[in-house]
Order: sequence, then C-alpha cells, then structure tokens
Amino acid sequence: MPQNIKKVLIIGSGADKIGHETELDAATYQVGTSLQQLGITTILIDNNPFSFALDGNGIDQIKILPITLSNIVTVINEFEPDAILPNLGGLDAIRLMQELIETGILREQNIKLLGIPDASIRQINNPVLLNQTLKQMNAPTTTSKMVRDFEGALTITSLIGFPVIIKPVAPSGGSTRRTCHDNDELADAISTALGQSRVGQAMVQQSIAGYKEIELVVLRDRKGTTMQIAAIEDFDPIGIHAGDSIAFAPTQTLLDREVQELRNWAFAITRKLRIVGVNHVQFALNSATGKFYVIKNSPYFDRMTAFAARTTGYPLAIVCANLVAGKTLSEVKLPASFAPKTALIEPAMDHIAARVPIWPFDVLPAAANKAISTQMHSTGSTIGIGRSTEEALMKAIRATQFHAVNFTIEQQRKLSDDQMVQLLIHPRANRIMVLMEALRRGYSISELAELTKIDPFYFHKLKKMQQLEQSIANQPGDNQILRQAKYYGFSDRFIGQLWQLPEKDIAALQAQDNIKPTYKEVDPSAGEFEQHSGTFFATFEQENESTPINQKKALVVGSGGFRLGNGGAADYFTASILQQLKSENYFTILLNNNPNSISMSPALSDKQYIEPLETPDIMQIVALEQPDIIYLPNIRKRLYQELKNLDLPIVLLPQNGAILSHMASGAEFAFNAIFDGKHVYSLGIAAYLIQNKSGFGEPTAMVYPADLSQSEKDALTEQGVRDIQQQPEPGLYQTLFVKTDRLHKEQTRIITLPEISFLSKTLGISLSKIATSLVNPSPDVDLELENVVNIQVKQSSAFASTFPFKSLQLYDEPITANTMVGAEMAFGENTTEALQHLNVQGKFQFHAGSLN
Amino acid sequence: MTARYLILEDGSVYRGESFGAPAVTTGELVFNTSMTGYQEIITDQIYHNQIVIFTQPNIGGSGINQANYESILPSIKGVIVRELANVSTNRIRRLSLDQYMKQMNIPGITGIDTRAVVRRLRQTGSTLKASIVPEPDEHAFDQLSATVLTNQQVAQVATSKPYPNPGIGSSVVVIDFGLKHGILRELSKRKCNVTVLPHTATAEDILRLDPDGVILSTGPGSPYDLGQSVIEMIQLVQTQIPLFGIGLGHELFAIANQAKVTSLPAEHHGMNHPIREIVTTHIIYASQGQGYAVESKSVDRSRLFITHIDLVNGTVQGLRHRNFPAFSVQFFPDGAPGPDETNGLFDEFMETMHSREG
Repeated sequence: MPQNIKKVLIIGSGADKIGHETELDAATYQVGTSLQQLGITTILIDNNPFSFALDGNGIDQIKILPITLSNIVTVINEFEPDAILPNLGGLDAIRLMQELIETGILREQNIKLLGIPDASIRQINNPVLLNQTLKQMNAPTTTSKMVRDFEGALTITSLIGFPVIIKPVAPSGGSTRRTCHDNDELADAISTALGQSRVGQAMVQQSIAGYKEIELVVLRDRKGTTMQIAAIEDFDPIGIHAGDSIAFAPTQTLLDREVQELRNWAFAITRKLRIVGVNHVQFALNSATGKFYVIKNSPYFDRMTAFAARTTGYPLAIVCANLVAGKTLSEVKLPASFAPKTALIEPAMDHIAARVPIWPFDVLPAAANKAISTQMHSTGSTIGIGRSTEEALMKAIRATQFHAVNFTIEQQRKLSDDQMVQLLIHPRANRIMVLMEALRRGYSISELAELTKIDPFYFHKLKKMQQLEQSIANQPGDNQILRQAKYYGFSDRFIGQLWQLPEKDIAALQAQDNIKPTYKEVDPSAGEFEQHSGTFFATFEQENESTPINQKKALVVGSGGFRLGNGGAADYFTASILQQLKSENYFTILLNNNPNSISMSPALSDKQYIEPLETPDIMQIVALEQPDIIYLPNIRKRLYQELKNLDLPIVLLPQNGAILSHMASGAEFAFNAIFDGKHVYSLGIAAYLIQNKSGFGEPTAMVYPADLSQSEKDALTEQGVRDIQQQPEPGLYQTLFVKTDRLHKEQTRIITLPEISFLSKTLGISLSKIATSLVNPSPDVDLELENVVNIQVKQSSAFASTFPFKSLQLYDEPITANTMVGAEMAFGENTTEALQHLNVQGKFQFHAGSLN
Repeated sequence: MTARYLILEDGSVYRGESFGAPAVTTGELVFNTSMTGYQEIITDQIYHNQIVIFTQPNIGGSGINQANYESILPSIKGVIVRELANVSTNRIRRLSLDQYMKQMNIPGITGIDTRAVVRRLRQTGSTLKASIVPEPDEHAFDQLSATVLTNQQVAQVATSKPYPNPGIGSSVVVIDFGLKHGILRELSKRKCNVTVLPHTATAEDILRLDPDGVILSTGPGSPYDLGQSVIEMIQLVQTQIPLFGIGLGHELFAIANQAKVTSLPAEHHGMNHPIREIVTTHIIYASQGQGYAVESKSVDRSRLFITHIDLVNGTVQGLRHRNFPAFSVQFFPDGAPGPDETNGLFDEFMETMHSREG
C-alpha cells in the first residue's frame, strides 16, 4: 500500500432523519471493523445515541460531539489523524469536508482525504460545477438555457422537446415554476417569467418528469479498476423521490444495451471524479426514445449502497474499506465464506429483490394525506426477496404492513372513481394499493401506464397478482390455488381473508398438502460457486438449502423497517443482543427485513433470514431451526402467544417508552438500576426535560445526572431500590418520580429503548448486553455488576430527540416518543454545559422544569 | 399452460410449465449467469446442441426486438427459466419471448427451480445431457440416453455460401463458424467492407479477395470437430494478413499455432468474471461463453504470448502471435450482450489493418 495510513477519522452521520436512517451507522461499523483489521486506528465523531459504532464497535476512539466544522478541527488537533474518511456521513459530511479543505488544515497537517479527491468534493457540492464536468465528458445531461424572449424559448424547446419547465431568472418577489407541453403554454409561461425576472430572463429547462429512474452502484480502486455491484430500477417514475419509490434489483425492464450504456457512463464519471470506493450514480431514462440522462452522483454510502449489498450478498463495506485504505481490487481478499477469494467478480443475482418504502402514517396520520413528490417523506424501507418480481414485491409489501390502515384493501374499495383518478395522477404514499384497486376496477394496462408513467411491465405483473387474487377468492380451499398463491408470495393472512378463514387454518391446509417454504441462499455468484453468505430467503420451490445446525441456537426477531419512535434505538438494541449472544457461544439467527439496519450487518449473526415479520413466516423458520431461545420485540403480542403455545422459550425486548398516565404534575425523574434477581445496582438518576400532557416518562429529552440535592437523591434511590427489588424478573428497571412540593413515586417500568442507548453511552457500559445476559443467564458469563456500581460519572450528559415534522411539512404535531425520528446527545462539565453542547445549533427547545 | 419436465441424464426430474414451441428436445444443459441480454443469448449460435438455463429468474421482461438478434435462425435447443415474463413492453419490441420461441420452434419451460438445477450441475462438475419432455417416463429417459448429439455443429449453423456486407472502409473477410451478429455490427460501425465466407473457405479463397484483415468468428462445439483444413488455412493466412480470432476462432487460432485446447469440466457462460489484460494489468469484464479453453502450458511462448487471463478460473482469454499481426480472444468483445470494455479490440484490429496498408 502506497498510502501509509495509521489513523483515520471517520465523520459520522448524526441523528437519524428522513433521508437517512441506520444504514450509515451500519456501514460505519462494518468499514471501521475492516479498517481495524488492516491495522488502522479508527476515530469516530458522532452524537447519535443510537449509534452502534459509537459504542466502540469497529471504532478505537470515540468522540461524542455534534458534527460541526469546529468540532472536527478539535478532534483533528486532539488525535492527529493522518486521514479523514467522509463517505460514511452522507451529503452533510461531504459539505463539511469542503469547509474543512478551505480552512487549510488538511494541507498544513498533511491529512489525506480518503475516497473522494478535493476537487471532486467541490463538484459533488456544486451541481453547476459537476454539470460542467459532465458536459466536458459529453455525458448526457439535461439541458437548460436562459432566454430573453419567446423566440429564444422556442429555439431551445425545438431542440430538447416538450415538456419544458419555465421559471424566472433572479425573480423580484414572486416566482412561478411551470411545466409547459405546447407552444401556447410556453408563450404564456415565458411572458409570466420574464415579467417576474429582475434581469428580463427566463430559464427553460428540459423536464424529465415521468422518465424511468435507474440507479447503479459501482466500486473503483485507486488504480482505476472499476466494477459494477448492482443496477437497480425504480418502479415509480421521476417526479417521485427515489427514496420514496419502490425499487427492484436487478433491473426488470431494461435491454442489455441500455444497462451497458448506463454502466459505461457510471464508470466514466466515477473515473473522472477519481472516486475510490463506492459510487452511486442515478440516471433518467426516457423509455419512448431510449435516451437517458445522468441526474445525480453520490460517492458515499447511502440507502442504495445498503440495498445493493444486502440483496447481492457482496461484502461492499469490507471491500470499500480496503479500497480507501489503499488496496486495489485485485489485492482485496474476501472473507472465508466466499469461494473465489477475489473481490473482482461482479455480483450476479439469481433472485429478485424489491424495496418498498415505509411512511410514518401509523403515528402521523396527517402524513398519509400528503402527495408523494420530489421530496422524500418515507422514514425507512423493507426488502422482499423472491424468485419472481411478483413474489419479491408481495413480500416487501407484507414486510412493511404491520400497522398501516391505508394499505388495506377495504380502504381502497371505498374510493370513489373520481378519487381514484386523482390518486393515480397525484400519487399518495400507498400508491401500490391504489394501483391494485384500479386493476380490480378494470382499468387497462395501457391506461394505467399512461396515467402513472410506470412501465407497463409492472402492470402486467400486478395484473397477474390481481387475477391470482380473484382465483383464490373463487376457489376456497383448493390446494393447487393455495400452492400457487404461496409461490407468488401471498400471505396466509391475505389468503385467509379471501377464504374467510383464520390465518391459522391456512397454515394447517399447507401442512396437510405438504406446501412448505424452501429457503434459498443469497449468493453473489448465482449458483456458479459453492459458497455461503449465510443469508436466506423463503420461496416455494423444489430444493431447500437451509439446514439447521446442531448447536445452541438463538433466534432474534428484528424490528423490521425503520419507523418513527423505536427505529434507531430498537435496531441498536437488536445489534447489541446479537453481539452478546455470540459472545455467549450461541449460534445466532437473525430474522429481519430492513436493508439499512445495523443488525443485518453480516458479521453480527451466523445466519440471517430476510423475510416479512408476519407470524406464519416466523413460525415456519422456528419449525425449521428449532432455536433454544427466541428474542422478540415487545409489541409482537400475537407471535408471543403462538410461540408460548408451542412452549418455546421467549424473551421480550424492552418497550419503546410507553407513556404512563399522570399522578401529579411537575418535574419528572427516573431512578435507573440493574436488577439481577437478588441485588439492585444503581445506575443513577436522570431528569426528563419535556413534560407531556398525556403522560410522564417520555424519553424525548433528558439530562443525566439529575440536579437534585443529596437528600433528594438518597430518597429517590432508597425508594427506587425498594421498588425494583420487588420485580419478579431480572432486568433493567427505572422508577419514575414527579416533583411537586415534594417527590412522588409514580411507577416502576423496564428502562425504555432510547434510554438504554443513552445511558450506555453516558456510563460507558453496554446495558443492552447486560440486559441480554440477565434474562437468560449463562454460567460462562460474569457480568461484573459490582464494577458497574462503582462507575464514577465525572460528566453530565444530555439527550434530545429530533423530529421529522419539517421534512414532512407538518405543523402542530405532538412531541412524543412515538414521533421521534432520531436523537442527539452531548457531554458537559455540568447540566448547563451539556445542554449548551447539545444545543449547539439552537434547534432544541426545552422546558426548564427539571433543570433546577 | 401445460406441465413440462426437464430431465437430466443423471435421473433428476424438474417440473415446470411449457412455453414456446411444444417440441421435445435434447441437448447439453448449460447455465448462463448474465442478468441481461436473454435475446442475444438465445439467438447466439454457440448454443447449438445446448439447452440454456438462465439463473436470473425474470426472463422475457423486455420482449424480443429487431435490434438485438445475434443470428437469423437460432439453433438453441431449449430455454429454461424460473419466471417467464410473457410481456413485451420495451419501446422497440416486436414480439414476446413466447411468440418468438414458438415461431422459431424452440421449446421452453418456466417455473423450474433453476437454482436447484444449477446447483446440481455444479455438484456434478461436468456437462450433462438433458431433455425437455411432456412426461418424465422411462421412455423419455431411454430417448435421452440414446440421443447422440451431432459433432458437425459448425456445418449446421454457419453459412454455406459467401455473402457480402459492403462498406466503404477496410476490406475484411469474416470466416463464419456460426458467427454472432455482434461481430458484423462492430465492423459495420467501423465502415468495413465485409465478405463473409463459409467455414470451408481455403486460404486461396481468402487471399483471392485480397482483404485487409480476416476475422475467425465465434461458433459452437469443439474446435477439433472442424478438421485439419481449417487449421492449415489459418496457418497460411496469418503469415500474410492481419487476423483476429474470437471464441471458437480463438481456439482454432491457438491450435493452428500448436497450442492445445481442452474441454472445461463445466462450461462457463456469463459476464461477471474479471479478466486481466496482461500488458496493461487492466481488469476488464466481457461476455463469456465457453466449453473449451486453451491449455496455458501448451502455449509455445516462442510463437504466441498470452494477452488475457480469466482471474477466477485462470483460463487463457487472449493470445497474440509473436511474428505476425494476429491475435485472438476467448470472450466476446462485441458486447452483445455484455460489457463494452473490450470493444476496443476491434479498433486495435482496424489499426493493425491500417498500419499494414500504410
């Protein structure tokens, strides 16, 4: 390796938000671990309390600070890294890198920027510059031109064709943006725009709305070798944010020639920008002409790189870490599970993966009424893997379905025909269900393709599903139909609804007819080599490849797609459980379907199933694997009951901060402790900063330790210990208090997920791991709880949740634990300073109630 | 749709549903891991005698169009897919895959557990004969084992008469061993004046046309099935005219220069293997479809040098003559289907011809 890198500073991604969830933290953990294996010391700056990497996973030095320019400089001065890796912090990190370059510190201290050269950082941050480069390369980009009159607009429009977008240049006051489809509209729009412009100019822009969106993920090494990891096709056309679009890998409707052309350009751009590591290039393809345009270039980890890695089984993060560390693709050796050790084989898929976004309407019903558009509104996504387009899509939809009322068929049947047309033209979040309903109502494929600009291929597939649905409904109990329904991914619940039978009976019918899922491995060689990724999906075919291992096994059911409220904290907890169980010599099996989740990082479990988290799917896996113990999220009540009936050992994971009703109103405090069944080990007292009208103990904002007098602390501790001592099971508990004229004890509960993450980072211990061991004690593991009690907290820390309201254009929504999207934390000498550090950008507003 | 079975000579049976022509067929079973380009693959004459399994499950999603044929009359024996998308929605579509296969009398099966078949082939480690039949009965298996596949493959798929593809540039003779159209397409792009000659053409036939260069085309089967006359033709022509061999043409070029070609235990068909260009150390990707390979240690280094190597299985992917302007590649540089990264080899061939003219 020519670059002798010893110490790398990784720029973290901050709080989860709409736009990115846990995929960046997951990538940070994986890349960090690989860098460490190369003998490189890793430093991470981040302030996300739900970060798994920030617990020291893959990271040697942790700096919990808001990710700002001055803090990055502070960290540089403290640790003197010889390189910075910016491609794990999203676009924000790329922006900060430009500011950092401009300070000159990198040059002065001879710090290398990994992955993206300085000049390319500028281009990624400035679309105009990037467009210039693309034009110089003769890369196909959309055309836009400034004109002074209608004639000018006509000239340019005759070149690029309708529709065009017209808007004023340098508007004085109002600015109208219009899409024009003919000369009349153009004349009108131009005169409006010229009137609005201070400089008498209008911008004529080629419109790509309605084009097909294709995304390529590629890798490049420092010597210029470039390879394709995945080509992904969006179901929804341009006009809908790619993050809000259903997507498929591999591409479903493209000719080889088209894919090769996109590949050539993706490679050319990646080389031109001299990217080392991962690059994600987005294209718009006009299906009517075959012409395409480069629309975005993102040389950093994001949701699509996560999707590409999970669905192909290619170890993208590991390889990328090696590349940024200076190895070439030829030099990288893949992990032991791969048969050919070369990283250079491009993944070939023999399955189809669908990605379906999750929108937050379960907790924010107002969001359901929002049209989906060029702005992203979804909080996360799920994947479905199958052996047909239909099966993959069906499974991905089932994986999202959990709560969403708007996804039910009954809901769609109520739509009037006018409402239907409106929803087809102005899609809402549940568009896929509306499309199915439109097919039920007899809309033709060509009509729907015209109205929605979605490729007719997908309507053929949806039509097939709808016809199958009809056949199921018409032939109750028919085993051939049942077999076919399962073959195309229909759920037991859905078949049961059509047959008016309980879900359980459908499972019984399948058992009777020997209709069983066969599990196939996600294999990046499409069967060419004998190798094992350890990741499986179910389908209903001839050969099953998943055989249970004869060893102590734990099955962990993940939390699925990222939702408001529990998203980050639940996934953090799941990842920690897996790590703990592995250290207790369990063979760990994870069941999850969120491509972005940390828990799905391949190294964290021995075996993964990418499946919907519906009860029958889980029961099938339980039947095959026969786990010794099963970990379930707290909300899975029905699954819990079914498993209980089978007499299987189950552990429920902590809840997501249920609100308890008020006894008295005032400042709120929590005494936290570990209870091992005999002793109560104090973890100290935290104070909540936001009092909710509907209840108390909301983990939305807090400080630790609480500013209480010693006598108050003693009183709380004494009462808390007494209460927790009486709990029937070992675990992590907190006793809540309200302070009015005196301190009232309210209730004792299991510590909530957000607080477990926050307290772990505050105290420097992994409470999630302790919790895992407490409920299922292993004789080999000494928790050393005595040491926990002796922790001397020298600093104060503060925690505050972030909310998605601005991104969703929602106002007056309640600040509750259920609507939080992410969180930030900070340390300080005392409470005031911790809060100052937390609130560096002034975005939080706290009630002062608990601060004095 | 009616039930149809894929039966293998090792006795295994896979059930699916019929599409394409309702014919019974027997051939060698090979799998192709390409994720795009089913039309190009199905129409490539290298699949004469063969039944192809696509590992990518969704096949047929962009129909069949007039721009992506690799032959006029495909000779593939059968097509096995997991999920036929019997639609045709691409803007340049003409037919659905099912319609096309019916027209061309190619039988197909959809709904097969293709991954299970591929794993079976991999475990067997050798090429297996297979049949597509309506019933997997004893009779069918008897027929399967009794079927002897022809070794006169080139004669069956290549042209028997010369034909021109006039252009205004360099004059190129293409010897047709079952050529894929991609070769002609690349020459047309470069304005070549092409004459396609049958595989039986002698050196004299070729030299009489006074070409600037000669291409030995792709084609099906073993290079040893072609006989000594082809080898002699190459030995003579390479001394006088720039020569470019592709696929089967590459294997013949190797044999003409005393190298040995052996059959691979398992055929390789796909486009995802890294190939190293030895001189530059560049890594490139190309479409590959081979049941044979040049034995590396048989290459006489005083005559030939190896230019390209497959980094996964170590097979020789390119050769160049030390003394004559002659070279060859095992993979398909015309990229139909597949990456364009080796397309420059046609430019290199053009330069070789020009430098000779100059």
